[in-house]
Amino acid sequence: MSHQVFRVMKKKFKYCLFACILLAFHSCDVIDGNYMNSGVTNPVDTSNVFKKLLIEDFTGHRCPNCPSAAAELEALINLYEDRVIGIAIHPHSNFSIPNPLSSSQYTYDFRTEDGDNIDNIFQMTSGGLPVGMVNRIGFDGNHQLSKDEWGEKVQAELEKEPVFKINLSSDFTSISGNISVEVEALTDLNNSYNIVVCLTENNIIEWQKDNNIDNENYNHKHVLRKMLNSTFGENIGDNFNSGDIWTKNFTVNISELENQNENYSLNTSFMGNGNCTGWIEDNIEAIAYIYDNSNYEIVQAEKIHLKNN
Amino acid sequence: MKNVFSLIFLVFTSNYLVAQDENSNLQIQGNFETNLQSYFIDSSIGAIEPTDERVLNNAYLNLRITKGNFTSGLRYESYLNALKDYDPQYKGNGIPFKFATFSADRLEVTVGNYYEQFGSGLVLRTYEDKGLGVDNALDGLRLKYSPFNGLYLTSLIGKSRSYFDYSDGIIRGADVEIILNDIKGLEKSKIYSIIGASFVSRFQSDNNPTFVLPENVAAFAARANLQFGNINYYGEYAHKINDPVGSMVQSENNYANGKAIVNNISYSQKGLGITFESHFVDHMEFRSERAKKKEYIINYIPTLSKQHTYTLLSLYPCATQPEGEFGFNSNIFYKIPKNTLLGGKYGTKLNVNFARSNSISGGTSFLNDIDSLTHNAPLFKIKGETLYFSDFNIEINKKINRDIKGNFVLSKQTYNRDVLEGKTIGEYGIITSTIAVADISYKIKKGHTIRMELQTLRSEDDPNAEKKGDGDWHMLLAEYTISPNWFVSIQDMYNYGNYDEEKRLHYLNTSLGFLKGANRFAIGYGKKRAGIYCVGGICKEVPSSNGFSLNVSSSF
Amino acid sequence: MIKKILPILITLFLISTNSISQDKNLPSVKVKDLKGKSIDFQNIENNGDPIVISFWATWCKPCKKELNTIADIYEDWQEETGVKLVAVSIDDSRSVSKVRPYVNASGWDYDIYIDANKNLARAMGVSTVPHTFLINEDGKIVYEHRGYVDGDEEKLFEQIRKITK
Repeated sequence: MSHQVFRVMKKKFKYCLFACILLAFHSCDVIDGNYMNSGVTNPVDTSNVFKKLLIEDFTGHRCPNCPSAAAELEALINLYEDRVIGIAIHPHSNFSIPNPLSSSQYTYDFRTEDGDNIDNIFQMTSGGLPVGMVNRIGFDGNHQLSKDEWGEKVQAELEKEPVFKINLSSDFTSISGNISVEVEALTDLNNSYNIVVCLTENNIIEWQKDNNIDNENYNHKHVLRKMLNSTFGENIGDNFNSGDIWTKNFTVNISELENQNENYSLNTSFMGNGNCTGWIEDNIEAIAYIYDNSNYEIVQAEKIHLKNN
Repeated sequence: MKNVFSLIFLVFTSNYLVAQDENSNLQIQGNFETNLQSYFIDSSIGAIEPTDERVLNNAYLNLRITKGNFTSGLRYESYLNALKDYDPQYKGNGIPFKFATFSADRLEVTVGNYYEQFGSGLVLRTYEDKGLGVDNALDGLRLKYSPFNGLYLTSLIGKSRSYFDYSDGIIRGADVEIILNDIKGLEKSKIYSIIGASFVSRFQSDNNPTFVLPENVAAFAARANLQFGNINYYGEYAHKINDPVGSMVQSENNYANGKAIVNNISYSQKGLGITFESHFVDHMEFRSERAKKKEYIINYIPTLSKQHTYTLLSLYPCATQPEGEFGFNSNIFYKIPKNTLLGGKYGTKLNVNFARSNSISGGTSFLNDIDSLTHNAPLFKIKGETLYFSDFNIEINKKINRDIKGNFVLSKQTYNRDVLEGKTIGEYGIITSTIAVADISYKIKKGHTIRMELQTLRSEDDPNAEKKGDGDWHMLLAEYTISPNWFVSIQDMYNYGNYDEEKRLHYLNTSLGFLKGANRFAIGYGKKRAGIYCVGGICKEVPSSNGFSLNVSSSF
Repeated sequence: MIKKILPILITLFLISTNSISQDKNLPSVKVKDLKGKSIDFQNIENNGDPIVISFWATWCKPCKKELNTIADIYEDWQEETGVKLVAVSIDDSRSVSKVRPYVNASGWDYDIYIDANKNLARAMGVSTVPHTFLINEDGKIVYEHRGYVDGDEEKLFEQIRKITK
């Protein structure tokens, strides 16, 4: 091989190497210290309607990785204050089956008929827990989101303009009462929408598997208790003009609702033990959300405490 | 719509090429496989969830068209609906894989979907394995250029496949490999050396309001393969720079760098082979998106334990813990010569294997505004570390006489079920199993063979653990084959030693098959045991099943 | 519906409008030899004598059985027909380090290649191992067989004899 040819080849080699190094320096971000951002400024002007979103966290009391998803949800709620609303659903899975009452641990049955109905449609447990949905966007196929994906979806969703305004009020003081729901369309709409009204309970202290430990006093938040108007709600209209109003009253009788859940646990759930009562009225919240009938996407949500004192 | 356009592209380009060159013929090849399974409700094995569809089906068809220097192809896949041991996010059907490649003058260009591996896969390996349901093919562009003999360059860009969609993150990569002996001046060297370096980076935009996330996350590796006579050494070092998952929670975002080091050395001569492989891994899982989901994993750090195919030997399989693990594996292959005392008339083949993996000293590296645990954990440390897995086994393969061949394995394994299956520490602890396998085939007459496998597993639970494991197992398999076309087999796995008497179940299974040329048909019926696996922070259960199965595969 | 039928329609269209040889050739895919050097598989040749290509892996029992059985009679096969056996391993980085030691310990005389990312296997339609092909003097695949049971090697040798001049 001639000396000249070899020199040319050496040159080409150098160019290639150079190109590779150049590529290397361009595509590498190194962040030094100070990993936190400035955070989020939440709107303070309450006279304006702003969009609120719903995160549904599918979980189980024996799922070791699930508390980190619950922590993710709490971090988002703390950051966005009342613009992010959460519901924790415990669908039937090996992670939610309660122990028999004779046992001393994990005897609570968090499963509900509504939760299982939702899981049936959205197939959340079959991919493994924890998993969640943000405003149920991406149905069918891209709606199952791992906890690390919730944050960025929230930003994008909250930037959208709200299309409905939901007003919730409650006259409940104890045992039973009424929740009244008023929906106002903020613009002309040509789609069919449904509204779901449900009750969730906060601060249920029960067993939870948390990574390496069995936590006897874990604080279960936003646990779905019961839909007041069936799992997938009721239709509020197929066509709206800006300013259209829809209203409805819902009776809430706590012991009746507790009995319905108990029934489901004892008679339908696999290895259900009926241990799903003992609701603490002070911790119950009412959540209403409106979704587009064509693709299940939630467009507005609202939440109030059940006890209005 | 995209799929239709790509097919039309295929048609026109192949027609054009036919017109150009009369000499080279257009070739169309492909292969096809379908798996059908029915699921009955069987409460004894815990299969209580009804399958609404009654029958589930996975199928795929590969087509490949070659003409001269041009190759094009596609794969059609259908999951209507996916088998229960597959991830249910495989849903529907479509053409998730299509490509066109042409090569000219030392340059090869691929557009569309492709699989690529850099080095041993520590920073990049996109591959497919239909048995595991893995397919993370890149969709984009790849160039391979070899300017002169001995220098090989690859550069690529793409998004990785996630079921019937693609990841958000964009992957860019480059790899250089040099055969030093092809470079003038080093041809006469007694050491045959190949060195290489690779660089991969992922771009994903930062929409996190709470944390500053790096948008370009880079990983790079350097490797060397040296051969001197009968000795072969392979080493690779991989490094990943700040790759937090993008969580909103402070303690979840780990900005520490990750690293992995592989060191393999082997010696071989006629009749004897010795290997020693080791790897050190610290926070080195690399994905095409920040979110910790198994379908985004684009690198490959395989477990170093021996890949067993006998059922009871792989009842408790080892899986690499990419957040932190030190593992090593050592083998001796020896052929005891014929006509010696131990060798017998035909010689005897021996394989002694020992593998072990444990945690790394000090735990996984961690870095954020509050915690910092970046350390150079010692590369080789076993003492005092949490055992994850160990396997010591001896395999003897012997032809006893003209008609009888036997393969015998004796193994002792320890399995940290809590770590390897993502359970709570202290729940099952470390399970010790002693397993014996005898696999004997007997030639009845020309072309007719009967083969029997007897396996047994004795299990010892962890005395400090909360729960007990499954206990002892027996397994029996009988297979009758008629060369070259037929096989029929029956097998039973019996959990005779389970502490819960109700769980002492028989998992009986039969299958019948026909093979001719490239075609294979098999039908089966029976029960399958449930399994659980945890990858990337999410645990998934594969349910037990009872039903019929049908498998048809062919190539043309 | 269209999406499902389209691939089949395209294939039929291509077959009808082109002169295609139904014999398959070896694809132009790179594999590595035991030293780690890449070679184009299309360049495999044996001076016009038959070539047997066998896909195997160190963890595949029937594959090792087939290759060990043939190893005992390989010399006789070569004397009679000049056949060359090329064994392509699909071991990935988990077990690829064991290929050379295993091959040497077993005393095989075959040409061994490594297809660690299954590129060649995919190009030749190989989904399970063992999968064995017989190539004739024109480089065309004339026989293939999947799986291995005792006695299959005799059928293979019959086929080799058929194409030997």
